[in-house]
Amino acid sequence: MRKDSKLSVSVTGIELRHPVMNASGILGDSVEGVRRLIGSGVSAVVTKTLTLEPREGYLPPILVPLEYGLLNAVGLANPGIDYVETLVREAHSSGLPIVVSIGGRDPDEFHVLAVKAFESGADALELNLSCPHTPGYGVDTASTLSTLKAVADSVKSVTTKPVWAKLGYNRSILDEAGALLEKGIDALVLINTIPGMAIDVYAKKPILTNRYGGLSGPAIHPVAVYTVYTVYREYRAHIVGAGGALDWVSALELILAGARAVQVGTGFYVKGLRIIEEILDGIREYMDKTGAKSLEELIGSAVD
Amino acid sequence: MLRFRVLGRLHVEPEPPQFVMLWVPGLEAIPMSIAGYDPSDEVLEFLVKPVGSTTSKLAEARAPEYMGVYGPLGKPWYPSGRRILFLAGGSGVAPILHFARKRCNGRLCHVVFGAWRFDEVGEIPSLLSSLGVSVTTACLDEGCDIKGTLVDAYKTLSVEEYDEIVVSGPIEVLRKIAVERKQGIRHYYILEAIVKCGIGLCSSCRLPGTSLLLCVDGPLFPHHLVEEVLLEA
Ligand SMILES: Cc1cc2nc3c(=O)[nH]c(=O)nc-3n(C[C@H](O)[C@H](O)[C@H](O)COP(=O)(O)OP(=O)(O)OC[C@H]3O[C@@H](n4cnc5c(N)ncnc54)[C@H](O)[C@@H]3O)c2cc1C
Ligand SMILES: Cc1cc2nc3c(=O)[nH]c(=O)nc-3n(C[C@H](O)[C@H](O)[C@H](O)COP(=O)(O)O)c2cc1C
Ligand code: FES
Repeated sequence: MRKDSKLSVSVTGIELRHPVMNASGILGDSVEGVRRLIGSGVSAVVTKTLTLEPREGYLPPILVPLEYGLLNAVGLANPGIDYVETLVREAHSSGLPIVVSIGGRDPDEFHVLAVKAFESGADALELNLSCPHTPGYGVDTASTLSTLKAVADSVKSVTTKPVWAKLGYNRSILDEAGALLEKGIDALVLINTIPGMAIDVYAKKPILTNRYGGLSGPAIHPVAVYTVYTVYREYRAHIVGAGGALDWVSALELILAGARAVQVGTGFYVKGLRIIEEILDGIREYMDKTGAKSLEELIGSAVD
Repeated sequence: MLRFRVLGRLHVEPEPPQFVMLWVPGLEAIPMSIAGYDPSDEVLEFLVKPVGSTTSKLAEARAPEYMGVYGPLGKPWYPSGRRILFLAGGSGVAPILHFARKRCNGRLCHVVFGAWRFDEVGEIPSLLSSLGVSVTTACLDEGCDIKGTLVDAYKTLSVEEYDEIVVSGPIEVLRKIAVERKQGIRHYYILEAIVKCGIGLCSSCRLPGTSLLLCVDGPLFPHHLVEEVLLEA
């Protein structure tokens, strides 16, 4: 672990031994999935977005693999918030912090979810305010600045532990980020998938059962870098970057744009579990070559 | 048996017992084993048993009709032995047809094909024979080579003659064979689970009590990996 000391970083007071973790929705919904994540070397576990009740999600096709990314409309399939304790225990048994992603339809639901997550020992919360394809959740909850603020209030009132809020790219991103930070949100997770659709030209129909879904992977990486950069430049807040981190260069771009940590989603599908070590090896080598002494000095270093 | 010509390209040649997600526009995408693949004209073959709305729609499909397909998914399996026994029930014979075509050249392959009734046996034995594989049929009524279930057939066969045994079919059959398993021969099972994403991302297909994902680690598993899945419950 010593060789990682240059990579260690603190995000909202949580000490991470390096900056790379999974993105919500990738493997963090079962004990076995959490074990796989731990095995991959992530520095923290992020759960699938949990809702009050378990959700089955949509019928397949829920995923369209594209050359430049993935289009998914899983429909927030998840085991429900009551499962959170099991996930927390699993991560903690390996000494890893766990960030619990929650998705509510209104501020009251977020309140209940937050209480349950913290009672179960969550180290931080990630509010999913940005799932683009599940009516009633995500972007729908967060449709106005005042509801965003109400959600932040209802969650911050139950805890002194860190609360992260996850947003997608949209033209009001600076206003949304500002409103959340003003309400005491500790970090922003940028970005969720962005809306997309694929049509089968022979069947002449959208492929996803839900018709549209969320686009992730290399296709959205420049959007993620731009969003992190823009928000960081404005607020110098704690940011966790997500979107198309598939190798050390794309991960490092997010860090140089202002992210203190990076989440990997689609990368797990493209490269498998070894992606985490691959990114870390690349960043270590880069730091050796360029003489960077700590990760801290790299964060936001491309932002003027 | 359904045959589809692939428009566009499969990037890799499908190997048994891989499967695809077959999308029936307007309905669902469901996992289907590849029963055959002809690289010269890119034709994929499936064997479909109608059990619900999507499979029924498929079974009724007549050209010209378009279906979506993505894959191949799952892991190929390469036998290491020379003498292989396949025990296949119902539509579980689909991947075995592909095995027969791709892996039985230079090997001694034998298939025991089980069905409830003789009239369900259909063209399968002749298809298998035409691929140079010997076949025994088993069904509960008169007309098959063996009167009884696949498990009955397994108990009476001299399975010691084989290096490897592959079982494919309804879960009850897999369970019973796992219980009756004769020692000393490597047993493999082709399992089913609810496949949604097909690429290891959604964990819908996880085998209960294990960290195995059927869509990326399977669908074929050696006995020791799935013993608990098959013997419990
Ligand atoms: C790897 C694999 C290979 C398969 N190969 C074949 C094959 O070659 N031929 C064949 O006839 N069948 C095959 N099946 C089974 C086939 O996928 C199901 O029968 C089909 O999904 C049922 O859909 P339906 O809409 O017709 O029926 P439904 O009414 O939706 O369901 C009927 C039954 O199928 C199961 N099922 C439903 N959706 C799925 C799903 N997405 N994944 C798995 N099971 C499901 C249900 O649990 C239920 O028991 C395979 C399954 C798997 C996992
Ligand atoms: C299959 C899949 C499921 C996802 N599920 C969730 C989820 O439950 N909650 C959430 O906040 N984001 C979810 N996301 C979005 C990712 O967490 C991430 O923000 C996005 O995919 C961009 O990162 P990437 O390009 O590395 O995948 C999901 C993404 C994918 C591909
Ligand atoms: S079907 Fe999604 S992980 Fe296997």
